[in-house]
Amino acid sequence: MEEIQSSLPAPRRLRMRRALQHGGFIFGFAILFVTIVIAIFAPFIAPHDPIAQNLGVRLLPPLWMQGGRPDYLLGTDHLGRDYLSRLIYGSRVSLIVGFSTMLIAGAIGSALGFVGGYYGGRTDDIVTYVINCRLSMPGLLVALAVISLVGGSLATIILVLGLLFWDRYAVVVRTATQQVRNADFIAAARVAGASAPWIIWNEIRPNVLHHILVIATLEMAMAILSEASLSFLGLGIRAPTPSWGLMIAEGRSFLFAKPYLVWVPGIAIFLLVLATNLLGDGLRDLSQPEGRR
Amino acid sequence: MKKLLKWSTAFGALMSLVLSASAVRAGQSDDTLRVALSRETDFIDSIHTSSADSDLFGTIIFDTLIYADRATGDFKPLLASSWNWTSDKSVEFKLRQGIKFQNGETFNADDVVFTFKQLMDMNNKFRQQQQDFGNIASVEKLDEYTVKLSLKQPEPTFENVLASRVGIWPNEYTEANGHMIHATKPVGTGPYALKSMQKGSSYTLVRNDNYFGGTRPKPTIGTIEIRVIPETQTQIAELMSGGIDMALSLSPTDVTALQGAPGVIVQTGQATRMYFLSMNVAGKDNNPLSNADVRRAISYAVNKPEMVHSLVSPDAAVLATNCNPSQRFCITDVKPVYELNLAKAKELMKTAGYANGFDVTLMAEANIRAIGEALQGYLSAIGIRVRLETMPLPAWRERYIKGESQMSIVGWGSGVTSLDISNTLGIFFNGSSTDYVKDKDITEWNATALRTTDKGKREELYRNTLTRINEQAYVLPLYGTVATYVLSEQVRYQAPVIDFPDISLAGWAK
Amino acid sequence: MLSFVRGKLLVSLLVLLTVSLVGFALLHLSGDLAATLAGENASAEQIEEIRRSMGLDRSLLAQYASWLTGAARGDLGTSFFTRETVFSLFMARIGTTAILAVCALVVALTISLPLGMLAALRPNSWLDRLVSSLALSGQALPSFFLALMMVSIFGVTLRWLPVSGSSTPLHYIMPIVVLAVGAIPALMRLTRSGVMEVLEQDYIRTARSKGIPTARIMLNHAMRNAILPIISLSAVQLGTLLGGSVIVESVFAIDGIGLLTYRSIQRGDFPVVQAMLMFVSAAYIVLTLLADILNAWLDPRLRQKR
Repeated sequence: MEEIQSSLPAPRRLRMRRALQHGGFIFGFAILFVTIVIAIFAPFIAPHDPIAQNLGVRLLPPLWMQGGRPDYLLGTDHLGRDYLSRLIYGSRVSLIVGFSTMLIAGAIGSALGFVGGYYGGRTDDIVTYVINCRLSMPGLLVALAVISLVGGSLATIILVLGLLFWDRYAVVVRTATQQVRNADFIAAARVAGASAPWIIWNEIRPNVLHHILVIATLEMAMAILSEASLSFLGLGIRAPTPSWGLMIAEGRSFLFAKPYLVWVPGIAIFLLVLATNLLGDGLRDLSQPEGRR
Repeated sequence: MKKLLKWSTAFGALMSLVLSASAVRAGQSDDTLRVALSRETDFIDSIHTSSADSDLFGTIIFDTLIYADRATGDFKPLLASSWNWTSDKSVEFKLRQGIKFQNGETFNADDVVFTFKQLMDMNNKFRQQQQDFGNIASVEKLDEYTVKLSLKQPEPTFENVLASRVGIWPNEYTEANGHMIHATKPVGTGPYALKSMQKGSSYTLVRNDNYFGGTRPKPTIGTIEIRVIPETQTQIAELMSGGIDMALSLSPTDVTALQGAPGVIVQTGQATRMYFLSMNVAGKDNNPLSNADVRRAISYAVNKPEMVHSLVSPDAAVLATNCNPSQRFCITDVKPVYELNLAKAKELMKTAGYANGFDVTLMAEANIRAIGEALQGYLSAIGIRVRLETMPLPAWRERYIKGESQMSIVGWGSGVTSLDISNTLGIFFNGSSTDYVKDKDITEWNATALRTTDKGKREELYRNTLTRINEQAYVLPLYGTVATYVLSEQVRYQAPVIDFPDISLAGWAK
Repeated sequence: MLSFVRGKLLVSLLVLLTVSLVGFALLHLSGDLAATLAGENASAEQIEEIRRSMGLDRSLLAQYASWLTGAARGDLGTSFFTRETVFSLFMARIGTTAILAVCALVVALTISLPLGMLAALRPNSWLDRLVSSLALSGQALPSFFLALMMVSIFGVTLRWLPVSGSSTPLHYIMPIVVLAVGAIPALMRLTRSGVMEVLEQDYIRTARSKGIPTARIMLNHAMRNAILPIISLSAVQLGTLLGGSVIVESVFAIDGIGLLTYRSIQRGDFPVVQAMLMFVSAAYIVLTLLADILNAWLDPRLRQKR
């Protein structure tokens, strides 16, 4: 956090105050935080084993509907698995995919962006070319095709998404690097004999980190949505692992008879993605001197 | 202002156009039966492909020599007015007279001979050609309405093939256009003719008003429109909103979602498809499944009735032996049979030296994931830690053929071709790459049965096989599927006794 | 201008070539196509036979070369499943998908342009906040979830709209809305920030202070400048919409190239999948190229920059 500060005009206390006044940021942060806590402590929170089936209690409605039972707050699915527990454990998949994809894609994209932006010239041409190629490939389609051939699993999804969705990092980091490249302190470092990697890591990275953070949150939201879509299409997480997209896929033939089977995970995805996006927007607003724009 | 007026008029006109178009709803009012299928089919005749979906079209466009009565499963005359096995390798067909193809050609012995000649020509590369038609030795026209067919070897199940796949082609039309014409512009003698199709998405068929009737009654509904709707919930939505009248490829699980929906009738019927748990018996190297006691323990650990009745359907058959009771020669009274007995299962695990269980991977097709999960649950009770892998059918098949399966849930057979037990026992006990048991006796018994026409002898051979399978617990037979037929209440359609629907039999309820 | 276009064209072609190679390699290295293709009762020998007859036993580069020479002649191969040419499969369906994508883009633009402009005029007003919330919510709604909800509400409960198929204009409404909702947020945000940027420039401030009606300023100056990035993004979005049609077309059973691709992916119909990847890439490249040229034409300064 120290490094960001140097790039921001406002002192930390002021920033805190502005953050607290930023409704979207607070909302997003709160939801994401709660989800992370739930995901980490899932075994202690979940009332049942999320994959233990109990055919005797299949398709129970949630508590507030006729026939609901207090030991199954959100009801059960077609195998009699507790829906609340599945929802709780499902948050793990979403978050793991979100964070891991963010890390892989962030590393690839930022590296490309730094190199292209710092060196410029031929090197930058090549980087731009690579970015162009990536942008021209339909991300979700490629992911679908590859995963259908390799077979879906958590690792495959993370890897495929991570290797595909780095374009925005690259674009943004490259532009940001170009802007800092000619600053005095960089020139000074260069004159002092610092190597290019050293300059990128120690001088440039701190100054573009807030851009990366913003993109990272937005891209994390994208990754969560993509995993849900892939799982919905049957090419994602394998059962019985609970994933929200998979829960919708499994519940969709009951869309009319037991609508909660689709609504519950649908709203969960919506809220988590919304929160992550809000957080990203908030971060961007806070890192800009004029505040929200 | 003027502009606004002009725009709103245009909009109004557009809206009325749109609304009038939407007035087209399913049903009786325009004498059109709207049917939904889940999968598109590559070809719409039963020769160029072989799938339940293409059979649906093939059945109503073409007539076969022999008709499988949908209410009883008996074989009855259709294009052949009678047939007579003159030896165990040759059969004579007396053909029905006065029938015309949909293009006006007259039906006679030449058409039948032509069709069989095409089936015998292996250069045509029809789907499963060698397997289904490779045994035909010759076909001969005895007179204008008599045909003699000879087989190379006796084949007790040959009539099944005749009744399901062999729709008779008009010789002149086919000769002029090539046999592939039937994949897109089929001409048969059947109760409905293809009027138009948008391949892979919708097909319109119209009634053949000159249909001869008889064993198979004259069709009543004027038009049949078949649409491919891949997602089950969309099919259900269409049924509930009146957009379609009939859905033929919903699973029993999907159908539970429809129970009690107004205006929708759910019927179930017997199917010939069956599922069993395959185990890698023949595999070497530290393979617990090569131990018969382990396999017996597994067989005792599964509560089949609970699993099948709640996950498949209350109407689904729980299998005692490795065949579907709807199949001919499926013998169920062999010993031993396995029922849930956890104490015994645990004891067997101990005697086998696996008191602490072991790890195993179970592969299953994605759409029967629930069954895999249930098995996972049951086997955990005797310490077997199951890693469940579900995948699309082609991926599973690939790995199964390569011998990579430790445990798999295998589904096999459908329609008339699997009316006989030989279809199910076939490739899983014949010493091939799909045979994970490799019991030489069983392979021998099955091969003999396949060329034996004597019913008593066949039954004895299959009894041997089924008994051996259970004694050694080579596989764990699970369940026979249920075919579902979901209809709007406007439609009258009796669920067939075999899962080989003939929708020309459908009519309006009132 | 000509040399600008020529340069862009060359790069685009190179990109297309690279993408096709990457796509080809990805698909080939990800699984055994021959085994996927083999019939239901295939033995190991039959799979080998298929591998040989399809030429799948050759080296990757050789296969790519023969695919590429075919593609250059307009021969994209034959579907493993229906045995029709990939080209004819595409041509039969491209119209449907194009209607969907273009209509969705038009709907998205008619909603996001005015709303984005209004929001930019009054930053931090209730309207601006509403617009932002809408954008955020739209972005967070998985399209398959939205599609299911719409089917459930408008198709089954209210029975206002037909659930699936594409036989009447009414059938297109729900799919178009779902696709448009996916495209609106980005377009709206871009309009808002673009217009806002322009509004802050001195000459606009002066004009506004002189009392020139806001609407005129918007149309004469702000929009004209903000339109450049919007054109580019629209081109990108159109490419995304073509790809996004996979989910929408399968839920609404619309027989376009999206559904074709999804089915082909499921059954390992490699020539179709490869062609679809190429098609969407090509569409994207052509559209962005057109947008670049259009932008350069609108704003000559861009021609100097590369």
